[in-house]
Amino acid sequence: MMKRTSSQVIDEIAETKLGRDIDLSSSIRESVRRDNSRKMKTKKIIITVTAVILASVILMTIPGVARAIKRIFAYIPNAGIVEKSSPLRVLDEPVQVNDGETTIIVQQGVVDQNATTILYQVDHLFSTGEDDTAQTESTCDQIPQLKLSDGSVLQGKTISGNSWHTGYTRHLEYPALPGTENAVTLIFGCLEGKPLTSDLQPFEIPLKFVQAPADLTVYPIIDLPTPEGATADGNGAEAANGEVSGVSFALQKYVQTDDELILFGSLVTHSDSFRIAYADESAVHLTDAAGAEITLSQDYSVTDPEAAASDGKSLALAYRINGSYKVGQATMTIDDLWITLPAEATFTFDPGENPQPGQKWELNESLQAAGYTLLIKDVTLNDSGDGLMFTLGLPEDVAEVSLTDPDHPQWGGGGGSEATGFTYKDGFPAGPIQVTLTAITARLKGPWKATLDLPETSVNVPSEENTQACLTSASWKSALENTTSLPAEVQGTLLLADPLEPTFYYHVLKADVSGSERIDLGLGKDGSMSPDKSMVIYETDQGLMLLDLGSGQQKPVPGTSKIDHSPLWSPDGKRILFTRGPAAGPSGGMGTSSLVVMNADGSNQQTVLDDSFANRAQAWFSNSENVLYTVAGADGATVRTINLTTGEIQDNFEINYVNASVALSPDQTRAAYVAMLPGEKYAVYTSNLDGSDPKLIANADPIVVTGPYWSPDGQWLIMSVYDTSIDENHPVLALVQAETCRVIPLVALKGHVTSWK
Amino acid sequence: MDEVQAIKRLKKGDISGMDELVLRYQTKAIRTAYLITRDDSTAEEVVQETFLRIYQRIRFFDETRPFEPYFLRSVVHTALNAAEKKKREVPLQEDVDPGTMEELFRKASSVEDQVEYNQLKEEIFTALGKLTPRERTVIVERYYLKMTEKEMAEENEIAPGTVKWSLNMARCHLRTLLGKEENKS
Repeated sequence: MMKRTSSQVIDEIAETKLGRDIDLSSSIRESVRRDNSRKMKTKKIIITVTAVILASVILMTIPGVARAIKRIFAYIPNAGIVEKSSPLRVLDEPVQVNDGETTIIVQQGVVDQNATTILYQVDHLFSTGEDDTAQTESTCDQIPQLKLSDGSVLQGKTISGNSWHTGYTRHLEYPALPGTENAVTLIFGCLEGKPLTSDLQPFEIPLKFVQAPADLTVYPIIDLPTPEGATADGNGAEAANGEVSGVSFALQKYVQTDDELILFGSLVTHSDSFRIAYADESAVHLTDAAGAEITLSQDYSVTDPEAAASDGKSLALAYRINGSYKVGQATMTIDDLWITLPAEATFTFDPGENPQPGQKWELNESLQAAGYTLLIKDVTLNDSGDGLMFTLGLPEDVAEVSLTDPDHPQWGGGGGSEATGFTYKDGFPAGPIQVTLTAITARLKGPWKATLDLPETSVNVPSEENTQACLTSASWKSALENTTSLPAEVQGTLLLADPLEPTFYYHVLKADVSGSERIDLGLGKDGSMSPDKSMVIYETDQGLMLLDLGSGQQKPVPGTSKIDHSPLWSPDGKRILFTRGPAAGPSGGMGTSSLVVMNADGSNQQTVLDDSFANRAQAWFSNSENVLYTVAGADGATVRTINLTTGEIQDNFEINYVNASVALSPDQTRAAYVAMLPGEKYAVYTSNLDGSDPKLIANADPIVVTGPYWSPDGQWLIMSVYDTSIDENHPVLALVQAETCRVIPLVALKGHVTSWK
Repeated sequence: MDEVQAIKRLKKGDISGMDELVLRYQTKAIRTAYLITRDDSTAEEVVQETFLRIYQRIRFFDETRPFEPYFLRSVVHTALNAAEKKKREVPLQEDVDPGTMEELFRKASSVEDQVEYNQLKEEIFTALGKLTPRERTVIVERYYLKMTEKEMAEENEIAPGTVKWSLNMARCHLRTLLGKEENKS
């Protein structure tokens, strides 16, 4: 007899009623990007248990921590900062084990006197043909333990990691191994990411540590001269507007590796009246000797042990510089930061004799605390009848407040920017309630500045031709202001994918490149047009769909389903290649993907590549035999070519962006693709098919540019530009002539181009 | 996939970390939100809003703790708020359904006839629609997200007795609605 759980039944109900899988990836990405670019007031929420706040306030009263004894630190890539006061031990050699098709490679292990760090990589997490059940079943979320020779077990914690469609890396930290303990075992109760099944078998990986060899790559941590960090301009005293002074900023150290510079600094308060909460990354800037702003990325995985403190009086900072800069004196500026202030303000609220769940009381209570005026608008008894939720009106420079009832025990509470509340442990108390404001997180205005001499690095080779893109925010703006007509040679028919209002589901659209004759072909995306322009194939939630443009007749491709995507019509018009997988979840999710080819009518489907990698078809070569495809991996995407007849595979080049789309120029000499610049800026490049001669075509940060596609004559690239000043919800298109760098906005066309004939 | 890496990347400002989380959890999140709000557009808005909030607060999330319960709890709360707003705009209809929730689930869990199974699913969906958003939320947490009453209490920071009470209220309401249908038929 068939058995279903209630969860399965409800899941099927929701699935049926919704009708199809909804992919919010692009709209959420867009929301996040817009959120970043708006640079609105940052309203950070820190869920703070009342007891923690109280403890922190108490800690603020403890005198400063004694200066640490001088210790010697160094930096090892992937292992982080290690202490060299005693000899280091490292993994004798990388260890690889296989669990079915899954490979686990312990790549690095380092032991210093403070910690043991382990770096390992897991790939081929999903075997060929195996479903990615991550979305529907419980999966292992355990990290391995480290077992010592006496049987004792060390628990680890995650420092950092990376993931791609079929695997991940893990950088874990455990307590330091005893000095005599060199043979230990990494114990996996289950393998993270794998479904938890009844036949789960724990496995172990023996590790051997040895004294670090003399040639181990260890970078010294270099002390900067006595910091010239300064307290904020104008922050020397209590200010009338409630700003609190007494924070200093300094850059103390840096590490110079072969390919980057890591700066270490700290913010320190000399005041007992607040603790430093955080500094927004967007509020931190580095200007080099030429006055150019250098891209920084904050690194939470490495911390200067000497700058870290748990008393809230200092905040350790680490920033990576990946790009080029002018050697010489640079200035780091922090515009403002957020601090937590203890507050003392009380008001009494009387819920009456018989408060009801959901009942609301208008309060409009104005509180004065720490120099701020805060409004408690109203309070509502929660639906359970045992907690209160307050609606707040906070000034611009206050991110959140914490309220409590000190007279009655609570399960916990929270800070909030627009609302905050708490729940009583012993039920809702009778009688009037005295509500106490315990803490405020407020903006402390700077700026704080610190200077340093940026050293020369091996990667510091500024190259104008490589750093200057054709499409920049400036050239885009200029092109918008100086509209030009479309060159006569730019012709053809586009297929676009665009999420249309009001549902924002993707539709396949056909349009002339001039913007005229725009036709909605229906729900779906990734359309590809036949060479004779008579047919279109595209993906839908029901599978691949063939559309006869002449008759308008649609025909589902038998044997395909929602896991089939990215169809590409061959240049000879005889075949269609598409990507199949992952087996569950939206396309592009975790799991393996294979390449499948079929006849143009959908018949004779044959899997041409199925190797437990996440493969994705990208473009046909003109011989209709070779295909360019990408493989997701630890460092991004590998571009490869496969011959569909012989199965021969050739490596082309690497892209540092795992979801990169790649377009092949009509003469088959150049590829156009999306890559990431330092600071996670989206860029469009072209290069030869072996990756040589890269040319930066678009870097319009903060505007995102993606999805390059070649014109039929190979002279132009068309790409999607997310300019929210033009359209909040849709990218508009831009033409860029690769040779001349000419930019032509096509604001009448929106979406992503998936075919141009 | 492992969310820890995704969250770590997100904390570093790598938006692709969000992609990983979206791809992994959006389906369940949308279905959860839909079951509570009963409107697909609202459900999408709820999930989008929740992801955006997660992104804005990610630096304070402890990546060593499981992300899914935290995230789905946020979805549930946002969906409940959205449904509460909607409730004021669209009065509940007083349609009726057969069976109790447990009985419906019991039947649905073992029925082999697909037509009958589809009918039962329709009845469950209709029955859910007669509940208040709060009651629907409790049912979704208990029967869809498979949270125990203890977990529901811990997640919502309320007393276990309150959960039991809420669950019973939801069941009773359903039973009342279903009873009407039985009498009618």
